Parts: sequence; C-alpha cells; structure tokens
Amino acid sequence: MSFLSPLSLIWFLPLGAIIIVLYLLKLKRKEHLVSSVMLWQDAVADIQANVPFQKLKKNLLLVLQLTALALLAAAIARPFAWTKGISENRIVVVLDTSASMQSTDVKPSRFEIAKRNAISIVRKMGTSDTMLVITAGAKTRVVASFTSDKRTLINAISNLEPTDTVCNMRQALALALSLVHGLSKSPPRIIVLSDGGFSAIPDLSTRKVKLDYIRIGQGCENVAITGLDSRKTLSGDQQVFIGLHNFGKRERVFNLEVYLGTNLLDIREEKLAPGETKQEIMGDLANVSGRITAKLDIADDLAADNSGTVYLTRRRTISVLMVSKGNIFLQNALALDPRTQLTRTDSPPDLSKRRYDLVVFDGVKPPASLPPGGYLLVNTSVNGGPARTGKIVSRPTIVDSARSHPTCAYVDFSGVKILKAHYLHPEPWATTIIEGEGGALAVAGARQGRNFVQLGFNLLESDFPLHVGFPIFVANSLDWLTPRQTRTTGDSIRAGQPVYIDIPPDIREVTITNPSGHKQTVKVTQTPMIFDDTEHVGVYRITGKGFEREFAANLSSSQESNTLPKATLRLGHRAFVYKGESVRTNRELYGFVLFAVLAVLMFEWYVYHGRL
Amino acid sequence: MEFADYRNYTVGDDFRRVDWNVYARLEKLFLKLFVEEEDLHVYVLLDVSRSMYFGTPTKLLYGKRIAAALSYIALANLDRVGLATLSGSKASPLSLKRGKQAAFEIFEHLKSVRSDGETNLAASLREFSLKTSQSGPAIVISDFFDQGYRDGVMSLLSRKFEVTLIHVLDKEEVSPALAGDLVLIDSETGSHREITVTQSLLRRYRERLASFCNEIESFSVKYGCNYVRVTNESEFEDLVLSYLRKKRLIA
Repeated sequence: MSFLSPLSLIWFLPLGAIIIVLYLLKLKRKEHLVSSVMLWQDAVADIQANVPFQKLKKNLLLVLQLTALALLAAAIARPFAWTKGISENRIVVVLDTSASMQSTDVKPSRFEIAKRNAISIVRKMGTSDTMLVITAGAKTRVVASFTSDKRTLINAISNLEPTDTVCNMRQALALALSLVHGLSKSPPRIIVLSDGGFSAIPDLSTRKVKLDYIRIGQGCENVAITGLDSRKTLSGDQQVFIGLHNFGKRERVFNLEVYLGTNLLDIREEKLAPGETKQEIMGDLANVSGRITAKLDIADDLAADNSGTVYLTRRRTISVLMVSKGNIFLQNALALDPRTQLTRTDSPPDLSKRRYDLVVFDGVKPPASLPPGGYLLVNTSVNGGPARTGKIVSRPTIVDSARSHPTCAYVDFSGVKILKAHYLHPEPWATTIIEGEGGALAVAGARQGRNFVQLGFNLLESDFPLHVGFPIFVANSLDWLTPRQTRTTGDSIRAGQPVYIDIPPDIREVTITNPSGHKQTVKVTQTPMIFDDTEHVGVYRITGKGFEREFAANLSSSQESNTLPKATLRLGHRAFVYKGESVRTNRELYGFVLFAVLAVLMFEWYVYHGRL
Repeated sequence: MEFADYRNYTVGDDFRRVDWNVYARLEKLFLKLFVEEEDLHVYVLLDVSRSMYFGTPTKLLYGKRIAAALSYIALANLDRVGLATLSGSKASPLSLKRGKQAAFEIFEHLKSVRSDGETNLAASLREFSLKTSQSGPAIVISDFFDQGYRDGVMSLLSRKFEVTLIHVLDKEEVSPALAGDLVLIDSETGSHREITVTQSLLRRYRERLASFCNEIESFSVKYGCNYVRVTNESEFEDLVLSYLRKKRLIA
C-alpha cells in the first residue's frame, strides 16, 4: 500500500498533540451519591489486581482516539493498493466480436469468457470511474457510452452477441483513442479483450493512453473453408473452387459435402495434415443453376467457417438494340460478347412494343420517354438522362477517367484522340467517367430503373475504337447497363460486407430473412439497395411483391479461421504483451479507511459508555 | 398458670405438685406440669443511618413500614413491643408498649424518625443489649453496610435474644445503572471513590454483593438467627402477609 498524497499524513501530528493535551487535562468525573462505597471498594480492589491491564484500559479511549485520527489522516493521504482491478477516470473496453471469438477452445466460448472478463472489470471499477464499451467486428459499435452506472454497463455487455465477421480492430482502437483523448487528467485506459485475430496496426499511436491486452483463448484446432468461388470457363463450363486449410496441430480426416440447394451433389473424403492447404475444384456444372453449399463434416473449434455458399447461373442472352446510321466498331464490340443478341435499326424504335435489355443510340435522338433498362447514348442526349450537352469543342484532351467506376475498369484513355466533342453537364446523380480539359466527355448514372452511359463525342470522330481499351469499355458498359441479366441468381459476399441488391422499380418494400430466420422489413429508397446487416454466415432471403432473391454471406477469412490466440498486440511502434487475465492497477482505499475510522469511533463510544 | 402435661414422679420432686386424684385412681404418682403464661417482649430495631435514606422508596421508609407492621402484629398478640432506632453507636429505645392502642404511639414515633449518622451496628446493638433487661425476639432491620454487624448480633445473642435480621436493599444497589467515569460519594461518610464503570466492574460488584448477602445469611444460620432479604421494589403487602409468614417470622 502507498499514498497518493503522503504529505497529508502530517495532519496527524498537531491534531494528535491536541488530543493528548486534552487528555492530560483530566476529565471531570460525574459525581454520584451511593448509600455506601463499601461494596464498590471491594469490587474495584478486585479489578485492580490486574494493574497493567487496567492501565491499558484506562488509556484505551486515548489509544482509540489516536487510532481514529491516524486513520483519518491516512484517508486524507489517499492510500491505494496495487490490485487486480481498475481505477482510472476513463476506461474504454474494446471487445472483439469477430468470428474467431466463437471458438470453443475455452468453455463455453471465447466470447463468453471475454464478456465475463468485461463484467468483472466493470464490477471492480472505482466509484468515480466511467467506462465506455466498444465492440470490434467488421463494424465498430459503441454499445455503452461513458457511464459509471455499473448496471447499464453490465446489461450492455451481457446483451452482446458474437458475429461471423472479420475483426476491424484498427477502426475500434482509432475510435477508442479519439474518444479518450484529452478527456481525463489521469491517463485513460483502453482494455482490449480479444484473441488477437487481426492484422498489426502500424499507423496508430497510443500516446499517453494505457493499453491492456487481455488475450482470450488457448489453442487452435480448426479446419476451415478459406476460399469459395465460382467461375465460367471460356468453353462455357462452370466451376466451383473450394479452398481448405487445417489450422490445427493434428491431422484431420473429414468429409467435404457439396450441395445444390438441399440436394447432395458430391461428397469427398479429405485428409489434411497440420497447416496443410488444399484446393478442390468441381467442374461439369455448365447447366447447373442455383445455390451451391460446401460443408465440412467435422467437429472443430469454430463452426462458422465450416460451410460456404456460392451461386451458379446458366448463361443468359442479352437483347441489344443498336439504333445507328452505321458504326462497325461499336457493332463488332457489342457482338463480341457471346451473350448478346444484337438487333440493328436506323430510326428510333417504339420501345413500348418490345423490351430490350440494352438500347444503343449512336448519334440518333432517343424518344422522349424511355422505359426502364440500359441505355448507351453516343453523341446524343435525352431528357431525364445523366447529362445535358454543352458547347462543342474541337480536339479536347482527356485529362482523367474514373478508374474506380465499373465501366472504366482496365481501360486506358490516355492516348485517345477526339476530333470534336460536346462537353457534358452531368446531373447530380450521375458520375463523370471521362474528364476533358473543360468538362465531362462521358458520364454514367442510374435512376428510376434506367442505367445510362453517355458519351459526348462521335466514336467515328475519334480513335477510341482503335484502342485496346474500346472493346473492354463496351464489355464493361454492357455489364453495368444490364445488371439483372449479367448478375447471377444470387451473390455471395464476406460476412459483414454490404451487399448491393437490384430491386425492380415498382417495389417499395422488401423483407429480408437472415440465416437464423429473423425477418426485417426494409424500405427501398434507391436501387441497387444497399444492405449491410450481414454479420452472420448463411443464406439471406429477400422477398417483395412478386420478387424473390437471395444472397449468401461466407466467412472466407484465413485470419479469422486461424484461431490461435496471439500473445502480442502491435500498435504503432509498441507491442502490448498479454500479462494475464487481470489488469494490475492502483485502487484507492480511502473508502475502506474511512469505514475503519467510523468503526473505531463506534468502538470508542462503546468503551466510553462503559460497555466494556 | 395453665396445665400442660403429666410426668412420672422422681425422687426429690415437690410433693405439692403430685396429682392425688390420679394417685387415688391409679395408685401411681404423677406430677402435674404447668406452663407459666408470660408477656412476650418483642424488640424491633430499625437502622436509621444515612445509608438507609436511599432509594425510591427509601430503604428507611420501607424499614419503617416493616417495623410498624411487625409492631402492630405483636401488639395485637398482646405482646409487649419495644422499638429502638439505631444510629451511629447509639440505640434509642422507646419504652415497652402493650395493647393495640400503643400501636399509634409507635406509628407516630416512626413518623418522626429521621435518618442520621453512620451505621455502627456493633456499638449500637451492644448498647441496646446492655440497656434491655428482658430478652425476647429482636428484629433488626438494616442494610448491614457495616462489617461490625457480627459483633452487634453476637451481643444480642449473648443476652438470649432471638434475633431476626431483615436485610433491606435498594434495587439500585442490587443492579446499579451506572456508566462512564464517576466519583462515587458515600452517603454516610462522604468519602470519594473514583471508578470507571465497565461491564466487568459491574459484574464484579454484583458478585461482591451476592457474597456479602451470603455471608450474612451464613452467619445467621450458624447462630440460629432468622435472615430475610428484601428489596424496596418488593410489594410490602406480599412481604408481610406471605414472605415473613413463610420464613416463620410471624405465625
């Protein structure tokens, strides 16, 4: 035990001296008349036989008063002890909720142990401490803002559930550091409860913040599906790729089961040595369409990575109408994709009679109203389109392109020369994909079920069709403009990532059923709709009025599947080493000391009134 | 004189006592025995030292009531009653009274008695025994806070008094409700005694009191005296009508 303010102990000297002086000025005894002191004399004589004890008793009050004063002076000096608890003004508990925390190498699970640890920390909080609780999954959440109410904190922690996502510890710690910075006189403390299943964080500094890393977990016996994907071969076949890895320390033999929907498609016996990685490829799936689920029939520490889902789809045709006076380059580029069924016409068609997936207006003015679908506008514009045409410029120079936009992927515009072009004035909802010196040369945008790519120049008045990037740009545009035709029947994403769902324009509300059967109704405000509540692996079903789709969330993360807990947490240039489950800190004891003062004073009162 | 019994004649007996009528019938000599009826002299000795003027009601008042009751019972029984107050080394006897009418004289005298002086039973009882020619039952009412009571009682016994000791205590003396640091002042001597009242001291005091009472009782048994201990919280009527009768102090 030590003192935070040891100089306060000096108070004992003058006050103790005063008590002794007062004691020396003998107290005036109360007079009491008795019939005879004869019996009292005898009784007192008996008691006085034990003189040393009596002397002690005579001074017991003085001793008790000095003891009470000494304790009071000690309380003012703020005693503290190094304990396995917490005593800071501000504490942030960061709780890892990622998939690896569901490992059952410690019973009942790492996450439950982490919660118990967190609750234990709450219970050991000092009365003036406040705590904030952050969860670190794919998303960072503040589940309890700074409070000293232990009940609120314990409730918030008790209600936490683990997710099947990766751990974004960097984001959580950045938030924690920003929240505690400059708020506390004493250095704030961040306590990380995790198994260390995240990458090093070199770009964060703890500054004056104390950080404790409490490692949860003991070992790793886990076999995982670390990769799952499907692809179409040039020959038209479809293949499913399954990557397996044994992260454990012993050889595992198990069955890999592959289902199409609920029907068993294939079963393979697998044998993986410790640390071994294996890839399985399943072919001959050209005519297969639907949900492919791979499952490992194995009992290991983590169940979330023992299954995965991908979707296969049959090749579908894309009906394309090209309205043009003639453009062989564009026509050939469109025909390159084996999915396209191209029709060409010279004059504007009546689009109400027949629906096309994509209509290309090459220098031809489109009709005033366009039904939902994809539209490639070359050197023309339309009311309600992504851009209005501006002034004509000759030989504009392309200065930039939107490389992140799907239409510009792998396309190099740097050498493209244009003879004459209209600068485009894009609408707020549209994106400029080719930027000239004085304005936009190409824009793309989607609104009310219509997807547009608009070029402000005649392709035949540029050398763009002669560039390698041209057929790629056309293929990209074809994919982007006809999403419902090009996408598969479902998507598979990594758990925790947002999913983009194309919803028909007449549907305003959809119901999303998550893998555990929980339903939530979501209002459709835009298409594609973004849904990000995908923290659990499995199949999510989206239903609406005459509309049904699904997508699957997979863990597919070697980092999470490798559940071996890490002894060190690296942050900036510092490494925080796990030192045991409890956090060692100084705990102020003045409350106990004051309680002792009260007890001594009560005892003194008891003695004073002669009950001893 | 009142006939009591017969007994066989033995040599040397007074012939005048022989019942000749019986001899005529039985031809055996029998002596008639008579019991002389005497007036019993009952002495009530009340300690009126200052230590008796203590408690609620005071031990003195309680003692006066006992003295009055016993005196009246004796007078009603046609006995002679001698009341004496003991204060310091002096015994102040009232002349022997007889007849129920004398009870009022005794009551008036008791009323006028005031507590005074120290307890000195040895001297006062000796003085009383010397002053009194006719022995009889002597009832001593006192708190006996004086180690000399033995000598005093022995003086009475030596003069053939049938001694009864009525030990009057105040409830405050039996279980004192004291606390803290006190100076105890003796009501008789005025002497001081500083004490710090603790549970152990109170316990010790109670033990000492019990042993003190036991000493008096043992002494009484040893020398054939009656011993009655009462506190001033006992109902007076119960004491006279039941307790003293049980102790065979009154018939």
